[in-house]
Amino acid sequence: MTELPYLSLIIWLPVLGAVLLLFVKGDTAARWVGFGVSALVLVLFAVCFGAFKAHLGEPQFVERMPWIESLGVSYHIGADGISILLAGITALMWPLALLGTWTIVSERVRAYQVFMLLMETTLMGVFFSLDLFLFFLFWEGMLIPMYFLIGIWGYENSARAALKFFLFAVFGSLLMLAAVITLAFLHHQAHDVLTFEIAALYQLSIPPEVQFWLALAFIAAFAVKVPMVPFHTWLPDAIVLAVVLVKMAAYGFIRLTLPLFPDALTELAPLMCAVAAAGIVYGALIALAQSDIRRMIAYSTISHAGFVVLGVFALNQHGIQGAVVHIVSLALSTGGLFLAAMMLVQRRNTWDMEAYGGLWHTIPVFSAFLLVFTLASVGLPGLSSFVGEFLILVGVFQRNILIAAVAATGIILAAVYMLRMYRKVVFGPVTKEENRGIRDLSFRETAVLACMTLFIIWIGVYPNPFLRTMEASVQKLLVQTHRLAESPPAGMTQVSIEPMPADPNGPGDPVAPGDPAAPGDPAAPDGLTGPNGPAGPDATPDTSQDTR
Amino acid sequence: MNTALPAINLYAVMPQIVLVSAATVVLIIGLFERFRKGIPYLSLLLLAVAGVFALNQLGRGPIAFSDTSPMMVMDDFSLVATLVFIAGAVLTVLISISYVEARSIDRGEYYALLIYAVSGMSMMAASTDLFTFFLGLEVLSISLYVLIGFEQRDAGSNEGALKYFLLGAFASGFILYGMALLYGASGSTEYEAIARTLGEERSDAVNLLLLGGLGLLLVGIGFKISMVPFHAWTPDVYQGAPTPVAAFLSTGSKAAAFVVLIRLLGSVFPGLQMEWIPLISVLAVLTIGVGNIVALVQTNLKRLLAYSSIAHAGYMLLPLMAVSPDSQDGSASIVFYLIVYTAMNLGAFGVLAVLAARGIPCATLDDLAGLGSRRPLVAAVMAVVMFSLAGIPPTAGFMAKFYLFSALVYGGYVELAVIGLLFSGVSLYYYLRVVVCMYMRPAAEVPAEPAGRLSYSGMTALCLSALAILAVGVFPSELLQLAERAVMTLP
Repeated sequence: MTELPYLSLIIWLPVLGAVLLLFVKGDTAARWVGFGVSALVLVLFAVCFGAFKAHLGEPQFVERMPWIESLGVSYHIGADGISILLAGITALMWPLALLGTWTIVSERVRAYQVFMLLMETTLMGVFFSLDLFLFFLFWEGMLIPMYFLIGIWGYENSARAALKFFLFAVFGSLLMLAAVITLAFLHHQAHDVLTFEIAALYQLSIPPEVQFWLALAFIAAFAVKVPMVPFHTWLPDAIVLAVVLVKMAAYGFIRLTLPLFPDALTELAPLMCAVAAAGIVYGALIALAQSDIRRMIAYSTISHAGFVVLGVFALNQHGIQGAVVHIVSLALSTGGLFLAAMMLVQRRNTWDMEAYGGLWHTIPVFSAFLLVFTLASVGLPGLSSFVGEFLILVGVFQRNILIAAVAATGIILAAVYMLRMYRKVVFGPVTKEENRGIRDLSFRETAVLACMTLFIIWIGVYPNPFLRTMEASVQKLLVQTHRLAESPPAGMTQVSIEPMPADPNGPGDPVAPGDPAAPGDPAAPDGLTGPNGPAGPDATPDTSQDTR
Repeated sequence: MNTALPAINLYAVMPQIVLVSAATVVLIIGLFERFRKGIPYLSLLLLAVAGVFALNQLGRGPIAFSDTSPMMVMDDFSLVATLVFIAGAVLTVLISISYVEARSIDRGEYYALLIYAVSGMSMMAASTDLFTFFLGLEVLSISLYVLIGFEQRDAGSNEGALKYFLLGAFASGFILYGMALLYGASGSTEYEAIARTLGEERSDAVNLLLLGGLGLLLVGIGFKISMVPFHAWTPDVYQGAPTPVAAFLSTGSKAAAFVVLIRLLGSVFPGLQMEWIPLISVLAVLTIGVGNIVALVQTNLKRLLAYSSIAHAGYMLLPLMAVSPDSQDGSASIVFYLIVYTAMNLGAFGVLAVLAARGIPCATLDDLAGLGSRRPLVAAVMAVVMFSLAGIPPTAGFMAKFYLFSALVYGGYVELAVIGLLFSGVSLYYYLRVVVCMYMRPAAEVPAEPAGRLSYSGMTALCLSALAILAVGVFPSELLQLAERAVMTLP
């Protein structure tokens, strides 16, 4: 490999694009710049991903420079298996989202592109930071573009929603900031070195009661953004960015809360699991009562976010891998659902389900895509969400059967509210005259949704490349997480020897995570050959290149 | 006749001498009507000269005014402080130019008084004796009394001047009385001598005198930095004063008082730490709380900024507790915060001054509606400043807060840090309201506004402060080192 600083390029290229945008005149040009830059990031990421060595489990492409020496802060970035997957889905979603909202966003287009690009930077920064200070900087800095995105291009009441979101988020983050400073201070006390290196902070031994408070502070920051019940009330007003936030916050849980505070987790993990399970059911029940498509998607996101948290706090290989896969698939399915809904609303200008009906007759292409996203959200085997949800449930099952059972009802409820929405919108006769003349998807829209569909099916049918990418990293993380925890069955060894329950739904069989040499796992690491064939018959060359 | 001059080193007070001469030159030239347009630029030039001089002296070790009785010292601390004051004054002059012209108060005295005030501040920073401290304080205060009331035809300006004068006179009285008590206890007005008295065994009576003296000094200085409960004048005075003067008042004069406070509490009164730490911590939390909570309901922008500046004073009080002989982090973080705060507040008030100079209404939050599309550049500056005041990265405000609260945690005051951080979360609400007004509210009912460009000088100042905020937010190292070096020479 050449020695290009890939990660830095991925992080900072969008900022350059944003600066470039300041000098661009005209909406169309601005759109092209925004799309072009994010596509370039995707290409860079693809190159990076191709060179990524999954079996290492260590951060790779590491760059390190002194930055604020007197505070012990360095510019230290790198990618491990978990972060590269999450960064990957971000890199993929950004050009798609910009392409998908090409005409939907028609006001202040240039500013929209600027803020979208800035947000991509902060997201990538969060995923690649190996320095806690840097992490916090990106984490908090993200609020600014996000605030404007919600406030200016959101829907009704958006200014209020933006403020609400910002306040919620900042209170969480400020508690985390106090904890971050305390961590560095503890490290300074113990080793006489002031540093914010995440890896160095992992090695700290902190008294359990201190850990408890620090962990709570971190959880507060992440729980707001996940969003976990009861910190979710900003979401229905600011759904636009929900999917992005879930990604970040869950990453925060995995990267920081787990390995930093292992002792505190023995107390907190069951609690978090219970709250997450309650959130799953709560979100699903509220989603059931919505007739507004946007609010329904919002509450379904709360429900799905509950799954992610549940998986993380199952504290085992299946749970965490499931959580990461579920995040990726959420971005695709919920993101796709929302994007599709936005396309529909652009045509009809209402979010009310009752205003539609019979779309199958008028816009079949759209309806087909909506079906895919709906079924993916429901968790149909063979589509992406199934893999994540299944792994999470397997993980939780080992911890607590009751919670797993409660969580599983969430899937059933999801089927109810999702299919109800689909029935109202698509099936039946055309009852409203306005729905007759409606345009079907344009080529651009079709391409965006098709691309997402492709990935949904790929992950659903053949998730192994994704699981394998993060496997070593997750294992390393678990070793770290369980280093001090007293319960022996939670050790790393347990992960590889535990009996796998048989999966009746063949295609999604996640046997591979615990065992790299499992059958069905092709020797060639190239996930594009063989099993992927049936999944993506229309795999165009450019998309397959992107994913490598 | 044998009149031997005392062995003094005039070079040690060179920055002050340069500033006072500059002010006097400006004052004299300002008398000539034909030079009126050039006065601000002359002021800028002279301020720059003083600045270059101070910069040149930086890092050359302390030079005392006199070996026998120090009175004043030129060390890195006073030089850095002087540089900050000069930078603040330069920005103030830049935002003043169009403002005072628009209000027809563009007279030479305005700029002369501004520079006199800077010289007073610089004296305060360099003082190592209660006398010189008081001298500097009065030079500063008297200049400010006049500056606040400079808009003679404006009732608010007069009201503000009178309020500031009356309360300022009281504050000076408190400070003088405190000085008298300290002199009574130690037999000297020198900082060193007072510190020595504190280090020795002392009787209860002496102790009482020292405590009383310190308490009265804190009241007086508390007034200058608008510490609760001595803050009541702040919103009225800021609202009434000409906007650039309010900007100067909220940054320079506050910074000067803080600089004195660092020297006093850090080098003179560590011996009484047990007594003043609880006091300051309670007052700091009160200041943060009152400032932030009352700011939530303000609709007048200058009053909002006034309460915000009260809150920021509270943040800056906190690390005073972490100042100890073996750790300079506390005072360094205050110096860093002061620098950043100067840029932020001058930016915020500067936006109002530049808009007001054009006749664009900007008194209340509602006036700002739609500013984002009407005046994109100014609105962007204001947004940067607001995010910085709120402490959101990648702005300097975040770095300053981070450094400040780190120092507090390292000093062992985690609870205070958490309280401070939570209140700074509260503060987001009112800072963001400004941003909401500018970008997310249509300017439907805003009357047709005067067209035309905003003044170049004002925009230069605004862009400078916004760029500085962003630059320091991303690359704070140099400035951090400067702040650390500044406090290194403190005993």
